[in-house]
Parts: sequence; structure tokens; C-alpha cells
Amino acid sequence: MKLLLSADENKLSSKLASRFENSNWYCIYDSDTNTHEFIKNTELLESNKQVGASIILFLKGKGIRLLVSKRFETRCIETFKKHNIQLIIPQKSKTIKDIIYLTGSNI
Amino acid sequence: MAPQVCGFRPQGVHVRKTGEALISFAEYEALKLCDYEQMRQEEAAVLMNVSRPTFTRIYQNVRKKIAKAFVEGQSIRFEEGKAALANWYTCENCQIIFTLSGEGEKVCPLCHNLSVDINCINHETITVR
Repeated sequence: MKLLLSADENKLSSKLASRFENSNWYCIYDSDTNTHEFIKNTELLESNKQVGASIILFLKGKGIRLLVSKRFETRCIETFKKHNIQLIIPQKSKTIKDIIYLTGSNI
Repeated sequence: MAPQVCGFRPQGVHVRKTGEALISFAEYEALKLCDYEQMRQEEAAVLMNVSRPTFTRIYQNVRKKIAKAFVEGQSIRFEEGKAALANWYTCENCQIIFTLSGEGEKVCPLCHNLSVDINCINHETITVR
């Protein structure tokens, strides 16, 4: 299972970004291999020079079906739902590490 | 994010006589960001991806509706609006809300807990065990 988490900083102790679409960093976590990597938002956007469609292509290319953030824009919710991508919003403030722990992994 | 309740009712009055105030999802969000999370309007406008004047208009509108509801004894109801785009479910174990993947099983995607509840905005409560 792969998750994409929006993050304020490129470290596991970082809090989730306030908004998914314009967070500074994204963390890709793979629960099968218990590995993670951080990518800067500009890297994600620059890969296809477009927002929205590029994110969908990126997610499908990486096999990511779960997104985690404090907030998603309403228009994006519709797009993600159409592509069967699940969204997760914590009800309380959590860090990247907190979310990973919830999957049962010990990172 | 969508509200966790469907609305509010005043006590001691017949709501049929006083009517109800309909709060849209955008209005709820504006109120939550500014009055609950204490954000500045500029910050909240950025989060909601609207211009500052638009945000101010939404914010002032919702405060006016709530003030009217309080003074005139109206009930308050949250419109589904675009919040109905996705059914949101709650996992108490993880303290998260989440959407399902297509017609996927109603199970928490993180801890795989089967005991999840549907968000009240959908006007029904289902517990899957």
C-alpha cells in the first residue's frame, strides 16, 4: 500500500500541510517495503508543467491510491473520486510519522 | 472539511414558525477557518482558493445568517452542496475521516478497522462491523 502525504517539511516529524494542493513537500510511504521518500512540490509540478492532471498521472505512475492531508480543495475531491483515489483527513493534528504508525508500521 | 453535524435546532420554539438558515459548505468552511481556527481572512482566502473580497463576502454572509438564526430562533442546517461529492467515513481508532475507493469495502484504509461510521452530512448513520 502506498500513501502520499502532504508535508510542511521533508522530515518524518513534520506536520501534515494545511492544504494538499500547495504543500511544500510530499512524502511517499510504501507500507509493503516500509520505505519513504520526500519530494518537493516543484518537482512534482515541473514534471508535467500542469497542475491537476499531472498529479493524477504521477499518482497512477507510482501506484499511489491513498492521499493524506489536513484539507483538500472541493474541486480536487471530485477529481480524485473519479479516479478512485482515497482521501484521508486526520481529525486531530498529526505528523507524517503518526500517520505511518497507524498503518501498523514502525518507521 | 464537511461539518460533523447536520445542523442545530433552537430550544423552546416551533421551528416551523421561525424557519431555518441554510449554511453552504463554503460558508461553513469560512466560519471554521476564521472564527474557530482563528486564521486571518487573507490566509483563509488562500486555503479556500478564492480572492480576498470573495472570502469576505462569504464570511460576512454566514455571520449574518447565524446572527439572524440566533435572534429569530431559526434552526440552522448545513447544505450538502459539493460536500456530497464524496461519502466520508470515520474511523474512531485512527481518528481520521476518509473516502472509499469506488465501491470498495467500508474499512479503514490505515488500520483496516471494520467498525467505521458514515459522516452525518449524508444524513444517515451506518456502523459496519
